[in-house]
Amino acid sequence: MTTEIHPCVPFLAAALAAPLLKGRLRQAALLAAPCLALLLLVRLSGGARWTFEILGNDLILLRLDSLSMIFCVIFVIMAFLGNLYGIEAPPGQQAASQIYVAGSLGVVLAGDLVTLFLGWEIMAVSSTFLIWGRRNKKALRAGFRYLLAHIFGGGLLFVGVLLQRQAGSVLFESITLDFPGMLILTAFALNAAVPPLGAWLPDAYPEATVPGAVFLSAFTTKTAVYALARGFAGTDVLVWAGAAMTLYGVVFAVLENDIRRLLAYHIISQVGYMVCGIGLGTSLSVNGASAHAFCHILYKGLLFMAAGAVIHVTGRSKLTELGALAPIMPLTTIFYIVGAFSISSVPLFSGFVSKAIVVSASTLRSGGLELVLTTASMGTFLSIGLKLLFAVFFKKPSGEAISLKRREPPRHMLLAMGLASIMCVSIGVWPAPLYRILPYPLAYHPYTRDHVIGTLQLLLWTGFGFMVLIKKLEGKSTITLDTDWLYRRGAPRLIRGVAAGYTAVAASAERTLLATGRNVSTLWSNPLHVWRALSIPYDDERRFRPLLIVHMVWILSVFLAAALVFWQFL
Amino acid sequence: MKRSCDNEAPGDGVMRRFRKVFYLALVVVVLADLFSSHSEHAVFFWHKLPGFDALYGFLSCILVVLFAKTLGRMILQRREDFYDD
Repeated sequence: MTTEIHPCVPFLAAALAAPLLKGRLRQAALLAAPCLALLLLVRLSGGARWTFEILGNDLILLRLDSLSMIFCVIFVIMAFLGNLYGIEAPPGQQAASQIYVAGSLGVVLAGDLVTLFLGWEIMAVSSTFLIWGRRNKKALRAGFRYLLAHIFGGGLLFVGVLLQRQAGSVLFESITLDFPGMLILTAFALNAAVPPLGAWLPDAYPEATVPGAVFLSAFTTKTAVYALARGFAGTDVLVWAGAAMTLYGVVFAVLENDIRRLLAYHIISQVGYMVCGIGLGTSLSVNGASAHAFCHILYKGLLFMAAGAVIHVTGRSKLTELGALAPIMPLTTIFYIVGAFSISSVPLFSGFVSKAIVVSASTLRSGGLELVLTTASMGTFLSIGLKLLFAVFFKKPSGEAISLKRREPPRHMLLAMGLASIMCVSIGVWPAPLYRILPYPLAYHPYTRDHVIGTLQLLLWTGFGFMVLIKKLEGKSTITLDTDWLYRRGAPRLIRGVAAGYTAVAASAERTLLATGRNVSTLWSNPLHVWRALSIPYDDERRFRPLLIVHMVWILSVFLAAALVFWQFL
Repeated sequence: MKRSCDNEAPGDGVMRRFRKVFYLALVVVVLADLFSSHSEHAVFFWHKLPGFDALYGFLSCILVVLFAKTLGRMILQRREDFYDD
């Protein structure tokens, strides 16, 4: 009987419990929910369950296979780490994040597009509260922009699903690229933060609460990666869209000054590898995308936890205001380094064993693709492994120094970061268990002599490049324009322009209409006013005799008209 | 090069030793390439060039930074209060 329970149920229960329980009891509920969900998950057997028929739709709430399994496992693990990290967050925040996790499990386990859409919207709404939870004006506005972007994406998805239903079935399998398919693809791409639809991500994530950003970094983009892998594996446009994403994130991160915004741009860059792997569509590349999603969730969560710890302790979030934190927060520094080395695919860390699969798969398509992905990988090491690490933890702060004695974040935060670090290193050292749960059978050996030497060359010589350019890479207190400019500045301007144009046209139409009316009524009351229209002097005061002349004129014209008609018809 | 590195080092002695080890490592990884087989998984010609990865890593790092900085200076970077009302 227990095998029948949907793994999102424990999270929904925890969402209810969080505001109702207090103290240790609440903490226990939050930590128990992911454990229970994992237990339910491993006891599920494959196939479709929880099927309903509503309004002629076959809804499948629980469909498990190897592709959904790996995403569910990592989501549940990440939920545990996130709950541990945010165990002292306000209960409202905790409830929102539990609903957010439940929504993403709903999406990944959905067997049909209607269920997927429901989970999609639950995620969008609940995650917005993780941004609003910061409770300042910037977060409020960023949250609204985030919500509107996702409502737009949800609308596209909804229309796509409706059209798909009209055409036949709403089962969530491989989707053909006709018009409804393209709507659905666009909606998925928006959530995967594919530019130019992805500006909501670096706009909103850095404004979220400290534990909220940890959750956000993991779930929205990776459910989209899952949805793309399920629906659009082998879609050619995704190959180069993904490759472009990897570089786009890297280039914008070089310019960034806010630490969490820098990390957010690298979410886009890393998701690019997954999107590219899905686009390639081979079993090797889809395996690579899934493995990379698994590793990415762990190390990106870890990086956001470390950045959050820095913000929690110092209250600052800008490279230009931070520096020399290594002596103050040595443990956080070590955890950050583990995350940074993992994302940079340093051998023995998790990114090395997953990114390599996608890059290997790309060589089967084209050499240019491999070089683009390698460049982006080096850019990642440059920004996260070198620039941010150096600027936050080692360099002397350029502004006001941080006068703190040794002060780490609270123990539960350290514990969450420690667990994530252990997982990153264990996957890197011993990738076999990860490779076993991938969607397709995989025989891949990341630790060949050539691969390790090649990677070390790339990394070390990128480090040399960093030393050469160190001056250029110092943080600058600027912000960077992205496509969110279009709706933050462009759209208001456009609306103002359209409104002004409309007002001008309407006003002139109104003027013309009123003038015409005035003239008609004047002429009607006295046709002799036509003299005035022809600019012939006509003295109103003395010669205006409406009673007699006007009525005579009208009576005569009526007779004239009647006579004309009479002659014409007889 | 020398000048730019001086600013980064608070603990000078440690940093100098670290830098020596680092330069040594740069040379060692390139030399190590001479002893690797280059036969496994060599798909394109550059997989067989010794030291290609080192050169590519260095150049792509420089290019990414210069490209990003130019783009930022010309179009993308604004004052921090750009979006404030």
